Amino acid sequence: MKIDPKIYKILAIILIMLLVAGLATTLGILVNKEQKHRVQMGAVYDEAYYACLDGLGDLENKLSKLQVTRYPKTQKNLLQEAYTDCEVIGVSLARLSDKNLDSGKLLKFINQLGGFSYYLSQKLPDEPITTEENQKLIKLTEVVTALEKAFAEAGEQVAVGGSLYDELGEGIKTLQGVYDAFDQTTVDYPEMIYDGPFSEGLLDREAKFLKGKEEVSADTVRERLTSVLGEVGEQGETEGAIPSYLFSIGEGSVEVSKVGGYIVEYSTPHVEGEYTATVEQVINTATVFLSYIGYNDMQAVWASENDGLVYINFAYVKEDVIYYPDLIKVKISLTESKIVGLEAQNYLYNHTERTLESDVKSIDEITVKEGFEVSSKRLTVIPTEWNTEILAYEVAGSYNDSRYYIYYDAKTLEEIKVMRVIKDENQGELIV
Amino acid sequence: MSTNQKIMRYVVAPILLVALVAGVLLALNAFEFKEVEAEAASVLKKGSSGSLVKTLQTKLKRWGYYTGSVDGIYGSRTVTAVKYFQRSNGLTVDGVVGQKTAQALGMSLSSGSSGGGSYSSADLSLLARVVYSEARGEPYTGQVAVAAVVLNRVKSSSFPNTISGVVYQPWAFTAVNDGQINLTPNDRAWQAARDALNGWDPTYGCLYYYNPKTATNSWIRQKKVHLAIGSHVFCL
Repeated sequence: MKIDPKIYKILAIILIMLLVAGLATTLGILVNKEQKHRVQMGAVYDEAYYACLDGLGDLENKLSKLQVTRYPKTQKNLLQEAYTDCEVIGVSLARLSDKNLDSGKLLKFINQLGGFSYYLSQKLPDEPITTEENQKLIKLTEVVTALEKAFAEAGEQVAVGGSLYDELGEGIKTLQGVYDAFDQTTVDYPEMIYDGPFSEGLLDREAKFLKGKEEVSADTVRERLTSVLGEVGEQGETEGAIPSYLFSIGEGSVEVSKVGGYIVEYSTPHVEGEYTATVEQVINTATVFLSYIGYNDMQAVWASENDGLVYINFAYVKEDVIYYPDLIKVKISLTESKIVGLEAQNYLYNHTERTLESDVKSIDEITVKEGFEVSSKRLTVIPTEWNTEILAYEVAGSYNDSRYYIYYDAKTLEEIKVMRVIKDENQGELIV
Repeated sequence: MSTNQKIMRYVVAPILLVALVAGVLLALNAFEFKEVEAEAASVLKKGSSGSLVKTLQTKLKRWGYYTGSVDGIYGSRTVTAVKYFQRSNGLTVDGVVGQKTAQALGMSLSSGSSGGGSYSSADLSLLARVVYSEARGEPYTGQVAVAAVVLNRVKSSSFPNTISGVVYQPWAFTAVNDGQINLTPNDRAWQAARDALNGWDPTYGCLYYYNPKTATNSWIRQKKVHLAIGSHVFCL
């Protein structure tokens, strides 16, 4: 049978028409979707921009007021508000990042300014703002004012009525101008070196425990590791604050400090299954293990269990005083009854022999809230967010079915920290 | 023009094109289906697996309903245990953990609930997703290291101050840009995330990592490499 070639032609035309219609519909759907997304994204982007601008205005306002008042409590409040403003600006600023737009330096400035404000506010009203700190604040206020102006101008440059996101190319470029201006020497802001959050001073920490110890060769370390943890594999190195050898072990790895040859970090995954040990047993195992690898006088102060994996915190103990800054964490598998991880950076950075202050008040003078059932009291050394240490009494106990740890300055008996044990059936359990 | 050529031009080519368009349309629809599916997974039944099943088994075991191993797989022994639990607690005995049974068990089905310690379980879940989507092919320590970089950024002044802020900072992680962040993390990823939240940091404070074989950004290559684990190098 012979088919008329015309039929092919008609068929072809119909197919092509269908095809074009299909394509047009698809394109229509896609364009529509894309437009909707654009509008939504634009709103998010614009919100971040205006939140930044608004936040900078508020911040400038508070920093300026600070120059007028001499009343410590008002200063404290203003600084706390300035800190909150910085947090808000920081969040929005991060959202204004782009592939080709690096807001890192500006974010750093805002975060550090927030940290500095917080630091000053914590010292007030007991310790007044020094002349030097005030000079810094004046300089910082100038920078904030300039920044606010630049931000406002960047917005104005974008077509009236349009959104920053719609004019993405242009908007991003103008903001880049602000960031660049900030990066270059045109803006000169004082370095914020102090012992607080986000300060530059924290970057160059020294591992106190390793000071003066001798360097150990990779071969020696490999030999020692094999006797402690079993066969180790490939070897690499870690640069940075604690130069280390890095060995692979099973699916994980172990890092050992070149100086002194101490295990700094060790982690391998654990295998789930039937439990073959109890938490008490593994705490003992871990304590023995720690002294075997050179970490002596460590006491388990906290343990939590989760899916057969126990995390135990060990702190250094001397003459019944617990030193929380010298912390080592050990991870043990209850299914394999063995140590599957260790983390000793805090110990290496902080551990050193200290002489404790003797002018402390008696532990019996501490008074707790009515209804608070005290289960233990002891003398401890705790780290502060300023990277310093405080001699403190730790009072553990419960109130309304929750467990708390309350810390009191041993010299003044002033309450300095309250910690609550968060306990959830799905989550870890406090054991020690 | 030969008959073969005609057939090629008028029949085969248009059919191929139509198939292509149909393919595109189907792909678009499939994409939407995927979103719906992810939301609908709020019932645990035979064949389910993952951390929620593990939570379920742990609870049942603790209360004496279940004697098998906590393996995260909803098998027939788990079904029996769930039925036993339902019977003892006056629930409909179907061996399926729906909203009511979940409530009676005191667990939530809507999100990953295996948190731990003092951080929120939302943080842990987000971190596990970053680990899985960014480093699932890496050695275990490489996975802990990726999670640690996220946490180091939270502590650094040059980055946002929350885990979600760091993870979703525009262009910070490829897995966020290509949507892989929404994949369901496996057990290893949860473990690695939990290690990092407990303080493990194999990188000693690094803020960046990249794969030297695939990284296209020349700026990041100028940074000093502090260590290499698997296919990633880490820098400050």
